Amino acid sequence: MVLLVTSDNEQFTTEKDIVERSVLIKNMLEDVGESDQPIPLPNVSSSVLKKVLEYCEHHRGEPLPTADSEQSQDETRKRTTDISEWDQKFITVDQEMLFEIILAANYLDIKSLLDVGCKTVANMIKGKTPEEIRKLFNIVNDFTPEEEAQIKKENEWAEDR
Amino acid sequence: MNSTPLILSIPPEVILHIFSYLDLPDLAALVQAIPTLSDLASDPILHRNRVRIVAPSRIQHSLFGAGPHGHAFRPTVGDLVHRGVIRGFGIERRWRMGAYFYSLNSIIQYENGLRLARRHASDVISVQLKRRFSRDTFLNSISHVLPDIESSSLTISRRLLPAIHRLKWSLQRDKLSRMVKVGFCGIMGPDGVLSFGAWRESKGHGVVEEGERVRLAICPDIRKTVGFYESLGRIPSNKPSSSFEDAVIYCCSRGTKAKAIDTGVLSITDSDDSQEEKMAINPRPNSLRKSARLQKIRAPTPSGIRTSMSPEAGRQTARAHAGRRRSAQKSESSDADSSSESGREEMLQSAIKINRTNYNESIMRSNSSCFAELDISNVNRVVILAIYVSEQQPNVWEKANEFLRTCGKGGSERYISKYRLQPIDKQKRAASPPLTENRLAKRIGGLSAGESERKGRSSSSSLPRPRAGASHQRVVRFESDHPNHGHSSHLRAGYQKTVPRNSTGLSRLKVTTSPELGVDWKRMGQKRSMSPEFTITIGSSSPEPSAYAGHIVGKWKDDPEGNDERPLNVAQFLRSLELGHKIPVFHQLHLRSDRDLRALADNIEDAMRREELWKLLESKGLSIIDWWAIVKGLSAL
Repeated sequence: MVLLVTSDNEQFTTEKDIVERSVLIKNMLEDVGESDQPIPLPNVSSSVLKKVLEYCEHHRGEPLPTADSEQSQDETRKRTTDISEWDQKFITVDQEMLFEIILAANYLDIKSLLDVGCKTVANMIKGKTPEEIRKLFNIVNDFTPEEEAQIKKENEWAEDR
Repeated sequence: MNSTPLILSIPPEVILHIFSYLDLPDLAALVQAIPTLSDLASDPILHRNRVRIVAPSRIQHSLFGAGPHGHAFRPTVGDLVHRGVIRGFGIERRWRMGAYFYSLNSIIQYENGLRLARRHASDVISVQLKRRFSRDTFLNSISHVLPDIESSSLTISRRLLPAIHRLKWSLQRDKLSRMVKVGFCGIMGPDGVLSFGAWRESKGHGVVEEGERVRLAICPDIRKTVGFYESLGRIPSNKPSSSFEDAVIYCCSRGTKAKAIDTGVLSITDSDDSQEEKMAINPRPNSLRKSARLQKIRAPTPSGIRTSMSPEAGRQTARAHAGRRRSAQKSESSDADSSSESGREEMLQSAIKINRTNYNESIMRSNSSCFAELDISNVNRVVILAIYVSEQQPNVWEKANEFLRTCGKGGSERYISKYRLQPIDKQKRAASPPLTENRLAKRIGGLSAGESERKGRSSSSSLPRPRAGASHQRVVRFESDHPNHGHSSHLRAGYQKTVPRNSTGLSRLKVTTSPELGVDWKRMGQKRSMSPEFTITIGSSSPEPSAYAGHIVGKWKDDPEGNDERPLNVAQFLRSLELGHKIPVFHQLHLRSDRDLRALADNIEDAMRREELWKLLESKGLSIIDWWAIVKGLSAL
């Protein structure tokens, strides 16, 4: 059993094979060895860690992606934004939690969870106009029309494909 | 609401990871929405990865992909050749053969071929342009396509064409009207063009139908003349009249005439003075009874009123022909003297002169040339009543028409009435009591078939109906088969109250034919005495038109035997034939005397010269129709 302490000092006790989905914790356990000392996770809140542990528990036992497989799957993985049904249901959270999960997955180095989070954000952006994107991410348009035209001109190469 | 967007709190490597799932348009939209991400969006590593991943799939798709119907996206060589992407000589053939088809030489060869083809086309066009018509030749060549010279002219604006055409039409119309105005009297126009009258005489017979309108158009003062003749019926009979211009010719064979006389269709009274017969059509019984008295009243009969000779009379006159010729002329002149008491009768005599001796001679010569001797030179209009029994004789009508046409009277059916004497059934006739002259005349006069049918009376049953195939019997009735003759019934039943006087020109003529008829009219309340018209009865068959002309000329010479050697005046001759408008033409042809005419007639005998003459006439704008017969008749003298 592994004891995890979140940023808000909440302790989570999980099984080792679940928590080893995180490459960070797995390396840490390998370096330190087995101990009863709690592992501090200062960048992860308890609510986010709860979601992360839920994900890890669901995907326990699955092989971790290796460097070779990652390279081989890169072409297909990069271009497909398909998400499995459970993952889709799992990731259906508000935008703040989504980005917290992404940050946590990045911190904990959980590659699959990071992919799911990034794909979800990419799916949210796909096919939207700049105005819709601003609305989606709650961004205030503080550019003058001249600046906007300049930006648009710089990106013509990508629009008129 | 946070002032910093959440997406901006994500570290750049995560953002690049998200961007790796986006395509270029999405990246562009994102950069436009969040310009602070533009550096990350244009990250070279990101795009290198994109190209490394995307390009192969794109190439794979373009080269080996297939559409929904199984068609490859990549075009074959054949498709490229057809689209003109690959050009060259025989590329498709070489491609199908598996040969190499796109060498440098093949490209040069193809380009040279194109150049040669272009040069050849330019040579062909330049040759065609050199051979091109000149403008005048071109316009001439298309003149048969374009309607007129203005339309084919390139110098006249199309917008002016309607005005030019209107102007031309106006000029043409003025010219024609001037021609008609100048020429209706048969005078040559000022520009030497033959007048309308001449044209109508020569070619216009079939074109301009003779009718009241035409006559009025040609002779506008005809109303005056007609009014004069109508007034003749009102003036006292002993008042001299100025002229006489209408005549009635009965046209029937001698046998027909005999039948008609027997049946009362015609009544003949003898004139003691002139030994001539006078014929009246369809008198009523009362008028028959009074005919003798009337004859006395109106005697002496004008010598111009002639009847056909009966066979016996013809033979007698033939026998006595030589001896009586001179005496007949003398008697005629004496008749004229005796009738000089009445100026009117004198005028009538001068109006129609018929040489009895010549008449007899003509009968003897051709046994039928009744038309030939008629001098109708002073007669304005002639009405011919053709009476025939069988269908073998209707040529009488045609010949009468031909006669009129030859004499320049403008022969027309309107001037000719046909009466057919119908045969009756033998049995019915046997059952019926013998017809006396009075009874027959009464029946015919009172109940003519046409009239009874028109009026719907039942009395037509009393008349024997003609039956098909019936043998020729004595004639018991006659009827007119002319469709539009008011005067037909007028003549047939002279007592009719409804005489359509103004329906045709003929009704204006008042072609009453006998004193009896005139009396009848008077009795019927017409308050009109008989018009001074004539009855001329002649035989049925007739010689060729040329023969008419010959006899006319002979009579005109006033010497039936042609012994008179007095020089002829061509103008007088033509006037006697009502062809006075031909005088200038004859003068142009240097025909001024009978010798000229005879010389011309000799030429006509020669076929070669005849052809030349024909051409000469045509060059003068003449038709040979009208006076050919005259000259031909001269040659027969």
